[in-house]
Amino acid sequence: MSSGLYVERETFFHKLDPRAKLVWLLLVLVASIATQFNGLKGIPVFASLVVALSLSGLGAGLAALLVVNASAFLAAVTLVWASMYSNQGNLLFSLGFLKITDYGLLVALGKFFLIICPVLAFVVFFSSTKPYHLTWALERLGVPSKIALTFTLALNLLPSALRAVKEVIDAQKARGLALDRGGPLQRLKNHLPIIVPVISKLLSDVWDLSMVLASRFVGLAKRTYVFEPSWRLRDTLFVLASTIFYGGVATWGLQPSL
Amino acid sequence: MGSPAVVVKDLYVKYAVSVEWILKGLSLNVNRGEMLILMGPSGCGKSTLLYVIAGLIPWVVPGEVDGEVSVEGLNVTDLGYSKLAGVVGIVYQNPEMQVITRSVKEELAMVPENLGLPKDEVVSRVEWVADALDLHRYLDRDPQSLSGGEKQLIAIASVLTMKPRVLLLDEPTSMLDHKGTSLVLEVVSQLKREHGLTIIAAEHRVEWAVEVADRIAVMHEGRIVLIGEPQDVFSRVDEIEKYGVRPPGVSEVVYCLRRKSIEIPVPVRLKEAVEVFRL
Amino acid sequence: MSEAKSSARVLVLFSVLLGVLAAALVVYAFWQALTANPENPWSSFILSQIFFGYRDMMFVVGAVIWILGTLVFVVELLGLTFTRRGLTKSGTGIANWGVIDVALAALSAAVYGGLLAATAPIVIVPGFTWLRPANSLAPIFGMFFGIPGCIGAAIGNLIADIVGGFFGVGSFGGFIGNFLIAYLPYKFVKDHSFSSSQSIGEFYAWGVLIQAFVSAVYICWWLNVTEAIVGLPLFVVWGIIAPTIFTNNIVVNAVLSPVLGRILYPLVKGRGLYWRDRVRVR
Repeated sequence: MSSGLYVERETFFHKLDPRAKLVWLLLVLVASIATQFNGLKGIPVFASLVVALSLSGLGAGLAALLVVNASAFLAAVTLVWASMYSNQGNLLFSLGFLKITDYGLLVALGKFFLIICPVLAFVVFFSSTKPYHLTWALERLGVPSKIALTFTLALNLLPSALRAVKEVIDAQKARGLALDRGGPLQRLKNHLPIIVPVISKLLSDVWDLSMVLASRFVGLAKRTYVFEPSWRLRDTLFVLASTIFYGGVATWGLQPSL
Repeated sequence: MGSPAVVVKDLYVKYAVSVEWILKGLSLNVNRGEMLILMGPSGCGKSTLLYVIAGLIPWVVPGEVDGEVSVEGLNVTDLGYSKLAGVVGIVYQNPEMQVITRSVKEELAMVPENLGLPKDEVVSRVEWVADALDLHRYLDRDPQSLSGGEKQLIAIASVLTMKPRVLLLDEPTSMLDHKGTSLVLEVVSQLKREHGLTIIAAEHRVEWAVEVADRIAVMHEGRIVLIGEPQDVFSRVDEIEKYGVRPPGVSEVVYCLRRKSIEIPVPVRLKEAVEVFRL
Repeated sequence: MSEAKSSARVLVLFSVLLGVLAAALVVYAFWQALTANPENPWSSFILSQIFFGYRDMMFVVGAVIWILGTLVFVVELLGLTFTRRGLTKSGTGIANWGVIDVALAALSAAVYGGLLAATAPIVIVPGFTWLRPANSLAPIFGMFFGIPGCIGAAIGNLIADIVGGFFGVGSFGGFIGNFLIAYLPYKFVKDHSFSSSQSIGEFYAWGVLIQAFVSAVYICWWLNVTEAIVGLPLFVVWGIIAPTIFTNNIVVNAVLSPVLGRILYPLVKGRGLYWRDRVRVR
């Protein structure tokens, strides 16, 4: 699954200024924190993320996919939270040592949203923000330009790295390599014929890439950003609407309800 | 052709990890607007020579350089690649490693952006190169979706945005299929024809080389062993074969006939062969 | 002199033995916990009991490790390093980076992130995954490529989080945590060749045992203090995540890294990419 990689689309979120999306991300985080003890109040935040996934062209189904993918971990976490609050509220049902109360369930749901909502917001941010704009935004946030460049260069090189890993895995499997054969330690060792060729390729690519970077004069002067994002009316409206919505939810979440 | 654009005198080069010298006392002059094609077997030092002229050895790739190398009057071994913007541009073999952004437009803007040029200038250079090489249809595309030949074309265009006076091509077609090769070679021919760039290319496609090159240099074990116009170099079939260079097909055929005592001149181009056999 | 040598050899042998033994014990202990309590193996896993049972102490130790680890990260980026003589210039900070360092860091990150994303974690029993073989590369990148390799491991882990769709506030702990996984053997293992007993012994000490503890505590301390933002209960942080990171990093690095290091070191040296050779040339 490559859910967080940039996807070229012409959607609402793709058109937004990365700064507007960063403010939105922060607001999602604040609203999730404020509603973490009452899952019902967290529902609007989660719903807004499902809408954001649709508006970024990724599809609302991705939220379900991410939840299913991490289901064992999320189930464990929410059950732990529910059992930690089993002394408060009315008992709904008990399952062996596990007692679930209405209050415990609300907290568990709130914590579930606290974990999953910022993750979904980051997925929307990364898949709708061009690596070029990401470098620009990171530099504006004070990240050293060479680190910002390294990060976006790595993101840009990732598809070819993934392709190389897949090619090596396919080639080794065709030669009879079975990754799932033997005990845990043997299975670990089975990965050696994959890792070694991939690293050998990396070693030969390093000089090629450094010469390319040199002939593109990377890091020599303060870079001009000609495709710099420009703040438009829609960004202002988006930030305003987000502030009102998430601000309202956060205020509601902080009010004692039980 | 005027004064030389590139002067190499008694050049010795070795990499930090190599024991022996890769280039051994190589000397070469390349005139302005001239196209020189370097030929020779793998490991003879073609790429190393181009890296030194581009100021990459020892500035990026550690190594030892002894001798004199100047491009447009600038001593490149002293200055290094960083001072050669607008003077020398180099294109490498591997198209996958040369296109490193997620949009062709960004790729073309990369060099002038990294040089810190004003925005207007960056835009005008991108437009200029897109016009010159007819790249408008690619501008909004993700380079990942392009073929190897198209990526190499974008790499050449990207280097041209710094408006170099000397263009170095390090086997730009060695990793391409037939279609990609034709695309790239056509563009290089066009650059020579229409823009008068000084071009030094390491390239093994002899049929193309005889058509476009002003001179051919055959390299062997770190030295230039034969240099001259394509006609002179490729008609010496025995000699160039000894150095691991395959002559053009027509030259090979005629040379076989000459061995059977049929005295006809050795052609290097197809049209010359047609003339020869009309006799 | 020979007495010092033989005691050093004993120490080396002891480190290797301890590393291998720790890896074997961890696998055995987890297997036992899984057999005894397949529904919730963590409650029976001895390491979970230690990390969670002593979580107050772990919190204090974690605070010290976090401050030191973050300080080291910042100091190294600034081109300085801690030595016995105090803070000295390293010549490997970001300001000193050339294109080769950027290329090394970016490619290490892409390959590390790609391998983490493309190779599935090893399934211990159906439905339960655990060991990540690609993690064995982080210390190798640090030892072979120096600070660019350490940054590559940190960014690679971040990219794996982004690609996997679980990037969040917790990922910032993983960023420096992975930097430290690469940094500790880079800094403290003297011989990086994996061809002498001293090299392997020091690796087992710094690249297996200490690194596993430091990274687990660094990442979990961050998750602990950001509990109200990240949303993970302390039992999950110290009882599940800490022992998972600790055991994964011990087992994977004890089993795979020395073999990989032994194979790859001559290739890295031969291509002129070993950091000491590059810094010397520079």
